[in-house]
Amino acid sequence: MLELNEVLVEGAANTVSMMAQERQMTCLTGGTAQVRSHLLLAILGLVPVKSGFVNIDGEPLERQTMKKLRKMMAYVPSELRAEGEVTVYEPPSVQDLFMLKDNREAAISNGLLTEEMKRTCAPQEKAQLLAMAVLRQRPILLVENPAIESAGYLKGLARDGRIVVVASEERAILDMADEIIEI
Amino acid sequence: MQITDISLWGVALMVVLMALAVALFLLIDRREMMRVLKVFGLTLGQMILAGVGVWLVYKVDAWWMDILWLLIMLALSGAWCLYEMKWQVKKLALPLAAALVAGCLVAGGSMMLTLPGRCFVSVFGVLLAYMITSITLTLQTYQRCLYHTESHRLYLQANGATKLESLMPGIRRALRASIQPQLRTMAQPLLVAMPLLFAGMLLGGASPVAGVFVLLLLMVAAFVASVVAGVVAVGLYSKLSC
Repeated sequence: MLELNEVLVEGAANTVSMMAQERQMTCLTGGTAQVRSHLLLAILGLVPVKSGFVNIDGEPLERQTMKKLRKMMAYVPSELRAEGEVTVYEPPSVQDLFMLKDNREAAISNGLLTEEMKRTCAPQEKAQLLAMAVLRQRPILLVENPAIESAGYLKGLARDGRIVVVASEERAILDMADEIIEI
Repeated sequence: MQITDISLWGVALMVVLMALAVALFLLIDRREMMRVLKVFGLTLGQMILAGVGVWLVYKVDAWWMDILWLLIMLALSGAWCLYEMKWQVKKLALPLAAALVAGCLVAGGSMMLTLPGRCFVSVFGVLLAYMITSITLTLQTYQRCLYHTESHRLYLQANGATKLESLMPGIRRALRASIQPQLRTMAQPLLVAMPLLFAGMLLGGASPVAGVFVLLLLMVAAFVASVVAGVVAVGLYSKLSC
């Protein structure tokens, strides 16, 4: 279970509390896109929390537990882009991700990836990011602004036993969610 | 070569030729002429200062004087790097100082085991010149990389990367940049454009064989110094700023 208790992140006006359960799709909505993004990154321990705390399976997310708890999660950003102006942009490739020590045991091949990408029903770029995270086989999946075509797929992942937390404003995604948290 | 080997008539001729060349610029491009004169003036002033410094070191001829000269040169090199990087003193002073010292200790120390003690000034002078360019390029590239790839790093860390793994693309790019200036120099057609260092050694009276050998040794040392300094600079900068 993933629990947020009165969590306040940078840029947010209100604190957020929620309990995301296994086999459930939880949707964070409202606020700005930046605040929703910060909340997902705060769950991963990648941006600081101003107040409140995050618990995963009863264990608080702290400096000491961060690495261990982060291993339970996979994250899908809205998009990958370079900050500022660059002439050539090279986002991290599939190889970059699955060459990481932590991901070497994950089953990955071109065939598997293509198949998973098709299942997401999302446009190419979003489908690849989502499929890569799903193939890491982590119990908690955090997704920022998924494509609306992927709503059913995400719900299916939750039904298969994962904790799926989505940040979105799209009606199609909200309709599929088991729980909606207004920021 | 000794100072007495230089002909005064030759010097006078060079001055006249220089005046004629400047006069030509006066006719066709007055602004560029002012720039030329300014640069020549600055070079002359700096050469006099550098010459006096090295003359003092040679005159005193003691180990402590060599070390003092090196410390002054290290401070000046660090200050120049900071100037090139817009005086980010808080962020860069420590990585810069550590990189310069580490490069000098490893590459310079090894060279001093190879060459006689009187080469101290020339060896460290060459190494510092290479290291200034290399460290500046390394840190500039690394800083740019960190800025451009912030979302990448978060994405990688969120999906299993350690902090070091997420920084690796930037580190790789920065270290590649650290050896670029030297590779460019080495990639020149040496048969057509003789290296200035080699020409300098020949002017100083070294034999061509010794000149080639020392030049190759210096190139190896400069490469090692650039790599060591780059690694130390990037490592410390990451530890302090990321």
